[in-house]
Amino acid sequence: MKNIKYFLIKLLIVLTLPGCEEFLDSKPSKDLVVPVNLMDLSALLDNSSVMNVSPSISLISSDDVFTTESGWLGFRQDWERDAYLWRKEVYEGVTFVPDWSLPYMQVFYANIVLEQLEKINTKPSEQELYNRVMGSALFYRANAFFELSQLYTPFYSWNDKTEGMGIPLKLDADINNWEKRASLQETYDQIASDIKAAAELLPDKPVFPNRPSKQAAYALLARMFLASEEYVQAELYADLSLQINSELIDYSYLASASTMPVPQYVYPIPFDNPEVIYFQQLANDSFHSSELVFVDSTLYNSYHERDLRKQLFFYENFSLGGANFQGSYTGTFMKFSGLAINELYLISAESKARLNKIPEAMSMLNSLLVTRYETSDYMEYMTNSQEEALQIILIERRKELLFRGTNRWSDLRRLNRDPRFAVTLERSIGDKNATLIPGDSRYVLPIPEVELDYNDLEQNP
Amino acid sequence: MKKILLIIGIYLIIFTQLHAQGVETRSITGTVLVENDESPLPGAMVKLKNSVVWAIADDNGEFEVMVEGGTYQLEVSFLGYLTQSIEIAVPQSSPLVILMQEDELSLEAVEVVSTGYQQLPKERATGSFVFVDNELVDRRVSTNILERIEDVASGVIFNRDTYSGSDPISIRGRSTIFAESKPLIVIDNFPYDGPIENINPNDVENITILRDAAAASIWGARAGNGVIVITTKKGRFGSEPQVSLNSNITFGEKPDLWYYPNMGFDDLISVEKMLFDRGFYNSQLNAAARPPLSPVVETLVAEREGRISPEESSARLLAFSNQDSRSDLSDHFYRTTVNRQLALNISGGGNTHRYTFSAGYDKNDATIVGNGRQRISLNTQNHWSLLRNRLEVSLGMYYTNSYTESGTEVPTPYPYERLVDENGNPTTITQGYSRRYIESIAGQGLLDWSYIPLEEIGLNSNLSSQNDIRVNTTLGYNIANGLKAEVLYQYWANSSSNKNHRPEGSYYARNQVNRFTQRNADGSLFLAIPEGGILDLGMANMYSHSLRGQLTHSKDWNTKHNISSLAGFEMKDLQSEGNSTRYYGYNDDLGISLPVDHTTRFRLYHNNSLSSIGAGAGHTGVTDRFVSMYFNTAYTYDKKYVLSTSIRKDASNIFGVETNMRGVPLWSTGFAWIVSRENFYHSGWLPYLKLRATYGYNGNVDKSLSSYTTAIYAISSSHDVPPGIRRAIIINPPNPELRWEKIGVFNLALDFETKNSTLSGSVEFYTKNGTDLIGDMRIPPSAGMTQFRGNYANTKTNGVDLNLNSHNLKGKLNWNTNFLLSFVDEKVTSYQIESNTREYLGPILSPKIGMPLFSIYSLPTAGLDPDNGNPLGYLDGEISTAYSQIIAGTTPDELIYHGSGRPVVFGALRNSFDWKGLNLSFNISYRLGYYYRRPSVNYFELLNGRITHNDFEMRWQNPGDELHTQIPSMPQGSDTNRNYFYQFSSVLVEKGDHIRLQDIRLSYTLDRRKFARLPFQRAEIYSYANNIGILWKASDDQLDPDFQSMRALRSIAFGVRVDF
Repeated sequence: MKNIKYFLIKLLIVLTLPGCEEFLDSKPSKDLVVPVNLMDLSALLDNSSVMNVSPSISLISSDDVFTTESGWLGFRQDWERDAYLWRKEVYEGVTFVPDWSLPYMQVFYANIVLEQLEKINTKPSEQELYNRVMGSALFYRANAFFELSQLYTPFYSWNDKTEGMGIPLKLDADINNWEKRASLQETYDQIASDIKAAAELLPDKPVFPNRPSKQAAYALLARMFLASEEYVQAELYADLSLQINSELIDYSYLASASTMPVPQYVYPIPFDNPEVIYFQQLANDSFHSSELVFVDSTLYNSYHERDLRKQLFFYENFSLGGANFQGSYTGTFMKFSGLAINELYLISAESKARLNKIPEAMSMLNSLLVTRYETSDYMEYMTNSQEEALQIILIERRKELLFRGTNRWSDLRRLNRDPRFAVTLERSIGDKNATLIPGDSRYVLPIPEVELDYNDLEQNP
Repeated sequence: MKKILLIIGIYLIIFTQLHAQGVETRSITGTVLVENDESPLPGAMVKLKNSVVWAIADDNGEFEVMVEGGTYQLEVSFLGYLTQSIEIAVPQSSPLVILMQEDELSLEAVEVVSTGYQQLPKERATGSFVFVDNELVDRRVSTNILERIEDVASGVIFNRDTYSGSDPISIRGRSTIFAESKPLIVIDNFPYDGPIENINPNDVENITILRDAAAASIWGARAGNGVIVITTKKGRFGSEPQVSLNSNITFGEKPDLWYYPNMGFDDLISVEKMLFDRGFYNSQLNAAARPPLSPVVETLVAEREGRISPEESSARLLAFSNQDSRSDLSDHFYRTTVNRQLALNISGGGNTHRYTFSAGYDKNDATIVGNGRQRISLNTQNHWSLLRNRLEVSLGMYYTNSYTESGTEVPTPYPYERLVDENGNPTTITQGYSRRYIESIAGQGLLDWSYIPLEEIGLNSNLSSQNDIRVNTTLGYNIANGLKAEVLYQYWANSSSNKNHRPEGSYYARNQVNRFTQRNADGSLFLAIPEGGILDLGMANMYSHSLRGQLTHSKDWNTKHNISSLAGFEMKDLQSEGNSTRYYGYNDDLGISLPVDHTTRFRLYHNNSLSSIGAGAGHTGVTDRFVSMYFNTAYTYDKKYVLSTSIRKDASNIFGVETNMRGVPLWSTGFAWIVSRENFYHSGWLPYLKLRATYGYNGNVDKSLSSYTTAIYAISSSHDVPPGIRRAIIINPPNPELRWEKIGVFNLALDFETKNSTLSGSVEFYTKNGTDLIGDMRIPPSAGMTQFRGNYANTKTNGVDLNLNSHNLKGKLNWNTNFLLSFVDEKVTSYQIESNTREYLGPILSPKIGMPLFSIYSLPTAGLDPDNGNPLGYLDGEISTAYSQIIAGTTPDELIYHGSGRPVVFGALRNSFDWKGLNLSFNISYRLGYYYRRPSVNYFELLNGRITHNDFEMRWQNPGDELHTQIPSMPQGSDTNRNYFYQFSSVLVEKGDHIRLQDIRLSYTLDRRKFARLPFQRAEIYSYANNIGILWKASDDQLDPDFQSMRALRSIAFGVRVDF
């Protein structure tokens, strides 16, 4: 009987001893983490298939592209067809709208990171990493807000403080807290202050091109100020960014590279080229890979015969209807929408011209364009007229930055305000004709139904 | 957690003290057997006359009573048997063997059910159990044990709808939405973590299914979907070695590739021709991806480009319309199957030791040539009764080894593409790329890029092998009369490996090499992937430790009271780890592979896109831990009233949940009243009547959720920038309010038996309330996610289970009928998401308040337009063909609700006839009250050049056709909304109700008791035919409602079972 008691007591000890808490604290799967430390937070922001993708609807709606009827019919999604014809009902019945959801998912990731950073006590040795992660999160959030503002809000002039509805500014990670639309001014102020804060924290240059840097923050500020007609700051930040690095690719080195078994689909400019400051690409929709999507023919014809871009950027596919674009800074059919040095040259040149610094403006432009020709072929642009300088710079801006993210769409919204540069867009597919006049309400996309169904936001007119 | 341990500790100590005062005790042991066939009589009550000491015979009919030395009068009783009285002197010279005679006047069926924690005579159970005895387990011929409970257990259904992948078996409906929806499977007291295919049905003695809270709540947080308890065969004390052999062979049908009705090929070809003329294929002709085009389109291209004459072209098209790839697939890739099964079982026992040993071998053909599976199982089970039966020790070891070969892949040719030429020689078919492209690059120095399916048969090997070991030990000590301490421990380990070898010369390897072939500036080629085979290896190791310590206690007093209790503690730790890797340039003869560069992005040869070479590396690791406490007690008064309670608390390592949120206490209570034992009860025709009622909670787990933000690590792919870096993906936003699911179950039942057992059975009513179920809530995208999962849903299920057994004829010809009927009415009672019309139409599970979880809705239709055959719908009450507006404008409430997508009423009727050793039984199953969407012509598919349903032939073609067809005309161009409208219109919803003749079994038994000169005790020769066919169905759709892509294949088995 004693033995039994001994056994039972022993059993009891064995059963009570293993601390349940520790035993149950082990994580159920190796690859799962609760992101708490800087490495995890950095890895969240390195999720480039979320963080480095931007809405693609602005490209299909811009006048950089055109397609034929069979190309149009071949688009996989209804909204691509509707967007091509600038139809107001573009998001009707669409349950997942990446144009709207994706930037907000980036905001969510950024907010998760920012909230967690507040809880971390940093060791001095980790301060640099801490700053980079925090700067990156602010950069991504501002970048997402900026992309959204170009699609879903009316044009904003920084100096006029244009009144109007902005976007919901989601600044916390609580998914149960749903924001209403802020004003336009609040939207742009938030973007500017986030990027400026990021610029203070970020290193000059990144280790991987998908990561933001000080140079990228300045470039994004330049892009934002240009889009809101604030040319003084646009020039300031473009030049600050170029001070960090202003290296351009000499296209004459790229020209002879094509030795592929097939001449088509070569995409000769790789993503890891020196001009890329910050890598980002458009969401992959079916029109990107359609060989029936061509570059606008007037634009194509505007390239000089000796312009190296004419061979590098395009595949002449005239039997099917036009020239395909293959000059994206991704090295694939995906369209680059990040920040690159060539854009800074153009922002700087235009701002300078707007501020009536014509010689500096033309010099900026010429130093860019000389790399797009065999040096001996290039004839420098010369002018003293502001109007002529602007005309030249805007044409060259279009030729250099075509198929690049939201740039053309933003430019249309901005330049259409000036009768000298305003254009009316026209398109037809079969018997369906569409016209988009300057200032048309369709330059502001409707807020998608999937948002309005749950969050009572005011719809755009 | 520690508090509960303490309580158990106190319980332990108190009972030890109580019983530690006894003087030296001895025991009376013995076996209770049924007189006529000497089968054990578990559950028989053995009692000392004029004393409170008693015991219940276990599974093997064995019992043990603790007494002091002396002479005793033993009373052995059991319902349906005459009570026996025996005098015995203790210590006894040998164990008793008590033969019980059937009481012709009271033949009540008595079963002993197992909860996995205890054995319980069904008579004393309050909960809802279904017992599948050995005869029923053995009735079917199959390799898989779970198939043996299909259509023989009421309340259990094998789901066959489109959602059944996550819950192939439901017990009393589904009481969860997104969490774990499979029943818990327990084998020999512990949940089984391996694939159920590893269990050899020949080793199984019986199966108990636990359906309500009282039955299952002992399993706590894992019992929400019901529990299936499998008990394996054990030896018997005091029996000669018994050798039993079972061997059978099953012939199965070849798949019928013509089962799904496709349109005629000449129609398909004319559609392709029309599309070609319209320029539909132009964008694909030179597209970057070099997409494959059908042979018809390639012929038309060749004609247009002047490569072949118009006559040649029409001759080819004519030939296409007369050939059928299905004939070649059927001839070369499919076969009738032969499954062989051999099982040997040896068991026996002496006074203190019993054992069983079994071996099984199964070899199954897959319907695809070259593929198949084999399984070897070896088991041994030993049980010792030591220290005068005070100490019980058992050790079981179960080993399974299996091999599965699935190297042959069935090609997917175009419908009219042949796999052999006129002379029967294997030919190339279109695969992956356009044939024109492949031909155009001939001579560029690549490997042959053609795909010849017949030459691939037997070339590739995809072999999975598995070793599964289970070691099960029990240590039990009878501390004193009625008090027993037990420690149970199980170790389980499963190691599996997968070797997928595509050798040099296989299409897969050639294709990979060619894609990654690089052309240098001087025109020379560089093979980024070296020539040779490709070998994928995967390995996984899993193991678990389960430990259980428990005390059981039983006490009688004043002859009328009995209390039986069980209290224990359980821990489980399951770990698994998996790794996979890939080798290029592999040569199996030499056993070497070649290195490749996984980091560079190469240009793919055919389309210049950039891609790095897949490394095939993967690592997984899973830890699953549970700590549980349980207590269960039953009080019986005067054998008439039973009151039971059970409580259990579980805690697990659900990720990130606060420790105090991890656990959930679940309880149940039940009451049973055996009315027929009351003095006032005098019904002669209904000698047995029992009323039961239970209420309690079961739990359920969704381990994928967490209260914290959870992320998963991954490596960026070769298409990402930059490739090959570590990144984290958020899979779970924070949810501090996360709780476990709780299912409240109320069960009310009546068990009865008429005189002479002519009719017996049970009827049970139940209500299940699922609360805090995991459901989705949609949130506006601006919040950062589009939806969010949490404890947002409730469901309610009402149901009835009826089980009737009748002995229609007795005597020389015996005729028994078993009738099962289950009714399940489940409704979602609370759900946060109001989905939109498209989501309710499917195919994603979209719960709607007030409706069954699986509901079939459709868009209302108004026939066809008499002018053009367009399907007509309703927009704001008006007939309309504005399809996109109809779909967008029809509110969810305006959809037609047809009914549940899963059977509401189901069951089976089994008849069994015995005559002079000949037995014939057949099972008819039925499923009623549900709906499904039948396939029809899909113009989106067709106008993209793909074949569709043969409803095409019955489509509207001319005005007037709308009077006799509901199938719309072919539209001019592909109109996704028109097609969507038709696919989800009310005309395509069919009633699924049907009655099926599931199987027939015929057997002949030879028994030594009848033929004295037989060299064996008993032999059974049997034949079993399965999936015989549908007897009746409500719909006139030609397809089987439950098997729409391929009908259930018929099979017939022949076998013999010999007991030596």
